[in-house]
Amino acid sequence: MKGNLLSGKKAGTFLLNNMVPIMFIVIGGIGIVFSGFSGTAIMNEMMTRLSRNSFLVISLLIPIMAGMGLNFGMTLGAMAGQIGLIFITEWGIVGIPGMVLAAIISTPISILLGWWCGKILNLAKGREMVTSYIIGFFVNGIYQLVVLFMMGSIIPIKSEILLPRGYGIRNTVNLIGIRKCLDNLIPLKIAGVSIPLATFILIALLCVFILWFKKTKLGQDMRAVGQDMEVAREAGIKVEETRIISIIISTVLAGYGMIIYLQNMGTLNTYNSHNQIGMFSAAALLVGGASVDKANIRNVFLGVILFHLMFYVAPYAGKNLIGEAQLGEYFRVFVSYGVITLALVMYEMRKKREGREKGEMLAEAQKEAK
Amino acid sequence: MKKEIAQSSVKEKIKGFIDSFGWPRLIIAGFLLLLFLVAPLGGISILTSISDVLMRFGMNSIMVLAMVPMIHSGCGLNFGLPLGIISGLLGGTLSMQFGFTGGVSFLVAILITVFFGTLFGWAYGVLLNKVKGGEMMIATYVGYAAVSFMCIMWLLLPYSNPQMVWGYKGTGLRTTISTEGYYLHILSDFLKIKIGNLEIPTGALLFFAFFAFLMWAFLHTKTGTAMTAVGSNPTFAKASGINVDRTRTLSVIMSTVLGGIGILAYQQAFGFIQLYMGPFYMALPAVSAILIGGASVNKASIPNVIIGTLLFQGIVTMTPSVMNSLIHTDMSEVIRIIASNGMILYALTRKSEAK
Amino acid sequence: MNKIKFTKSLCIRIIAILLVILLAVVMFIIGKQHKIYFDNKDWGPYKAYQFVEVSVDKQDSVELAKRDRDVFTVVAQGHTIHIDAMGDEKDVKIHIPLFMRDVLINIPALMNGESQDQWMEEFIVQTVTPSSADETVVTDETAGLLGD
Repeated sequence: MKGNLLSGKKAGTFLLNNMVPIMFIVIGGIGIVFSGFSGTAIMNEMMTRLSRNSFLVISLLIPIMAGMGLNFGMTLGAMAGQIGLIFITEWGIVGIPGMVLAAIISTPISILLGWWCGKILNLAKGREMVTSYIIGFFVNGIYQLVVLFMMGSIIPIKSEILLPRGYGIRNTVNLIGIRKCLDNLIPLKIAGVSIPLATFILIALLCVFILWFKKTKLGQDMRAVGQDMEVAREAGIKVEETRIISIIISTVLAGYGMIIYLQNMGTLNTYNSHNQIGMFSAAALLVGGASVDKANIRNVFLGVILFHLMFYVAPYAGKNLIGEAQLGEYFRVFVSYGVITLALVMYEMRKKREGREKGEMLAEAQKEAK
Repeated sequence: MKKEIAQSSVKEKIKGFIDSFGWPRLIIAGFLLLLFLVAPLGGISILTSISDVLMRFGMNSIMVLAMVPMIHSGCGLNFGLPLGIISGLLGGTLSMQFGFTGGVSFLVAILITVFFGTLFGWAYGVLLNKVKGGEMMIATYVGYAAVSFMCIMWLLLPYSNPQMVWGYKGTGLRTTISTEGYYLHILSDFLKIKIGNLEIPTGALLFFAFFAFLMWAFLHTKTGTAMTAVGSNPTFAKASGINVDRTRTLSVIMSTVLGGIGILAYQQAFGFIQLYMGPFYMALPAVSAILIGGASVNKASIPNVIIGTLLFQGIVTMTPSVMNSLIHTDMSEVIRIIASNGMILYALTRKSEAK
Repeated sequence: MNKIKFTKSLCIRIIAILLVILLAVVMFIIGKQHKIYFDNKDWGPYKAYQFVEVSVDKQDSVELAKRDRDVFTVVAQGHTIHIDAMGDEKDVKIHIPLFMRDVLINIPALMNGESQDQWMEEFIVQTVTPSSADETVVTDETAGLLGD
């Protein structure tokens, strides 16, 4: 009887802890039924989206480890990656060398932006997320200043990606030279589902890197900083520096992630591609069962699959259910924001509860000492 | 010797002034002054510009005012303003749907807005009480979630006024709805003063003054001072018998209702109701305006609102015209993004004065 | 004045940065895309062929009639051109200068044994963009939310 009750309670906590993924499995299931897609079509799309987005989502992991929450400033890295892509398109560098070169160009820009972002976030301890969010907007302004006004006038750009007026990059840049070059590097098709093997190998390498990094001295320091900044400082860890490094790594990875993302898309929407990347990546990670202070690689893959399943089928399901594809589009935007809101609220409530419990325990300990 | 002392004291005074005023604010004010100075070179009439700024002041000031209560109660900057705007959109559209026209439609819209604003604000306030310390990020996402949820609702709600729904389908609200025949310019044209090129939308300014006065008066009542106390020192406030959660909820309700009324004042001058993704980023200009006016994350006053809105709208109005006429490039959008978000960043990185 | 100490880690860092720059240069060279245009036209004393077959590296060959022009897209600098002019076959190795995006090769001149700087020249594509067709730049931040 007692054991039954306990296991019931256990199941309850399991459901509560995994509420978001379970909810998404249900939404996705309903969506699949009403979208009318075949299994192969969905598998194909999921493979594409998994290879396209995983790298970006993984870039969020390290700042979470350092206790800085969801790094919405990853858009900075995305912008750096896009600048790299603009240059290789201008110079006509194609294929894998083009991607490598774009990554090399993006790296110093990412490091610089990440360093600056980390500095700012150190000034705004306790509200890193909202600050990194606003940093994204701010740097978007600078990005526009550079890409829309300085390219072609100060930075030499001559090819057809330039606006006819002579400066500024066009709305869309065709990335035909690197389109799917990584995805199709090692062609593999299993039961009608094409698998971009090379991209997955790269993602796997990144996962290995993350797992290794957690075990290094720096990784351990980051976890210590994430748990308690003051304790870490007393233990001789340079808190500020560690936090900055975590943001730099995240930004650089986001830059590479964006290059992988855009080689799959094949076109760069110069002024829009990066804007929602932070939001979609954060939402995907949270859907995978991560929280603001705890996330691992399993959350990334589960999240990308579940989130993008919903994202893919929603418009079609909306069309078949109510005759309005637009409805499905709004629905998925709502779900994206809703899930982030929910996760943030749950995190803050848990933090508050834990703080209270800690206080109670302290009080009790004092009582006993007396 | 004496001269030196005098010099250093002047220097200190200037330094103190700059410190209290803040560098970004000074730069923005200087930039606006510069714009007004060079405007005549580009053949831009100063009087027309001033009229524009005044008109935009009337349109935006109440939404900026909406920031005040939540800053006072310690809830931070209300990035969830879109929630209030949605109550205003509901007010406007429902009033039109019920068939009210002219001035009555505006009054009814305000009444409905107050109803929905109170409802939403209450729920939003209760939520924010559960997440003390993390309000701003959650507020942002509450706003976004509400806007995207309402996108679905605008499509599904059974509106039927032919001026508002898509013509070919007969259902679903349009992206923009004209307020003509309803409350277009209902405030702006009230007691409007026109001297040559200078136009003063007296009605809109009076409308703002009315709410600003109410806010000022409220902050001097017992509840108002309690709200400030909660914001500056919640523990002390609790000890002196103030119900912290209730006071915070009240501030959120006030902010949400004012956001709704603010968007109505915006629509009557602008001429259109913007639905769907329209309200998405409307919190940011309001937030940066009050910060430019001298507010911080936990301190704000009515003068902050007035100065901030004038400066912010001044920049927004003047840069496109001056830039276009002088260098034939429209960099105003970029400047606006950098200036307004830079201002928010500056405020977020300041050490909180009380806490 | 602070003296820069050449410690081990600094040296390693400098070497690493230099290696990355070197990698970037290599990527630039091996990834640079060029276009090779072929002209079957009269050149000085040499008359155009009635009919030629041209191929570059292992790409499919292209047939050019008199006064025809065609183009191959290639990556990197060194390439082998195979020309078959009515039984008169020739393999030529060419090296495209790095900063020449597009080159134009005259087949009659090449076949008659002129030097490379004679039969190969830089080809600058004249892009004619009507000035009226200026596009408006969309920087709307919500645009990315809808659509794919």
